[in-house]
Amino acid sequence: MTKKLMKGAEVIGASAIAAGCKHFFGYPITPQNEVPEYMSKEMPKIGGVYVQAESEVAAVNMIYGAAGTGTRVMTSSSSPGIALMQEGLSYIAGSEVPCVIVSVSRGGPGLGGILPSQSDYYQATRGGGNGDYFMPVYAPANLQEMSELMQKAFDIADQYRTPAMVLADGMLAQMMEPVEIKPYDSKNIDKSSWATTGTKGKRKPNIINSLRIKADALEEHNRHLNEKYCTIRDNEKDYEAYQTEQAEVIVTAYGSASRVVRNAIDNLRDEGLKVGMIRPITLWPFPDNAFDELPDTVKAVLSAELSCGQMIDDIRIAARGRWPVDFYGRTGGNIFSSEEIEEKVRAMLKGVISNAR
Amino acid sequence: MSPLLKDKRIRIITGYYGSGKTEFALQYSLQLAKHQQPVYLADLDIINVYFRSREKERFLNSRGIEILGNILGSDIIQDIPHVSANIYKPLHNHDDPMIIDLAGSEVGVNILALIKKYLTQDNYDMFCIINVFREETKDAEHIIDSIQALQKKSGLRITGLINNANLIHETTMEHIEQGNRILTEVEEAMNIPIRYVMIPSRLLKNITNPIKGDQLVMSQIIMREKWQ
Repeated sequence: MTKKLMKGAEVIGASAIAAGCKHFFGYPITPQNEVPEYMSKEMPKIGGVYVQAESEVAAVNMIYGAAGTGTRVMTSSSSPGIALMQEGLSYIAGSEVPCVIVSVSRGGPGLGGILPSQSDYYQATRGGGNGDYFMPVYAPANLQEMSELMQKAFDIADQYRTPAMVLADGMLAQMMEPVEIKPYDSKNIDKSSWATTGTKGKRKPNIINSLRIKADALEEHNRHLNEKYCTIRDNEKDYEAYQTEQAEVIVTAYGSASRVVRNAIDNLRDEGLKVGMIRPITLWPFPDNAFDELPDTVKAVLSAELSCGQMIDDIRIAARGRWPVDFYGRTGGNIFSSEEIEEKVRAMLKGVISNAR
Repeated sequence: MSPLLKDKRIRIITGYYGSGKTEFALQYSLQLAKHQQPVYLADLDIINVYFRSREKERFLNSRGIEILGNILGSDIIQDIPHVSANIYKPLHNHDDPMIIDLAGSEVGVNILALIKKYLTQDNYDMFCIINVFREETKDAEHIIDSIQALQKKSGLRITGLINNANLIHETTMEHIEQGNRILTEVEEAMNIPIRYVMIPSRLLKNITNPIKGDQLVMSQIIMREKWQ
């Protein structure tokens, strides 16, 4: 396979299809319209189904229904659209059916704007749905990685019977990069014990349901879900440590923000300044283990986000008071420049550190 | 004489989406503005909201290029397809060069209906930007289909092919040569000449085989920040 020049939205669609995704249900919203556009063209070619639902609420419930058959399904939306899907996501998590949700975030709150943003970190990692649930959230920083994480998300969803999210932003969905969509050897997971594929009169019906009316039954289910989340926490944390050797300041950034930070760190290291980056690849489970492996030279941590500060909460939990955690962010669709990050880090190296957001 | 001065006064830039139309329009405008000013660059992309030429307005103004397209300003804060009446300025005068940056694919040329009455065989060139590393224009057959669709939808003839074979920062001379081979097939099949080849300045020293088209040398990619 040779590389092609692809747009982020095309990478999302092509990688999902390579991972065996058969159905797409969604509703258009900027800046991810090219995903449904791509899927509407490609799904019929693979014998799959594309449905433009009447709303995001309808789309997520179509996902719920299709996922109950054990077929690989996905949707894609952006901030306010993902907000509308929260009820369905809670039902999907409660019923333990696998699916992939692509969240291409834009500025908020409310209708917000159409430019890239990372202000949906809470929405992705805490969720707006009810109940004790989590879902794995992957945060690619480039289009090749986005392709690989899309494919992985389908496997993880099947393996743990959970919704899995790929959190991108408008920048990643709209930008173009050389990408190779690798053929993907998906894990073949037996779904016969739960998928509603028809009994043919030969077995008891499988039932997809999130309602457990008796206290003990619901508590038992919650314990079962919690055990699953603990297993995911144990096994699935992922991050990249970049230039952390001898580092005095560690910048933490994910997704498109991490691209600017990487550039800033390269420039600062060229000046001989000791700066590194932790780039979470999974946002839930948050890679707190990355912070335990930092060298003793670290004096402070910076969270750099395209938001007013959301991931900083998880960084503070992971830091466990060992270092002050400072913040730098831009919002509204503005992206911080490499120079802004460099200036902030230089100040921190001189001891100007704020431990309050 | 710069080859750009041989082109007709109105240069329409089309191609499949993601082919590099805006980058070509900007590089071309900057080169042309070294010889003629003002250069009018009309941003008629009413589909995309990201990566538009009007994002670069201040930089271009300082180099003698005037951006036409949106009276709402150059911030892409409006998710509204909107074209300003100021695009008629260089259509009514008959002297100043005008470059029209369209949105991608057949839907992108729809907007030409607005200005078609100003176009005559003698006053416009229509360039089709082609990157053979885009799936939809990966070989001669696909490119010919796409050119025919563009011509049918616009009712205008494509007068030149632009070889923009690239993988952004990973582009090598071999990639450009591959574009040259495929576009040569298209040139012969459709009798449309390869007018320009876009070439990063870092690769100039690597040119060993003849490449068709006048070179549009890029010292940098304008539409990408360093970290992109």
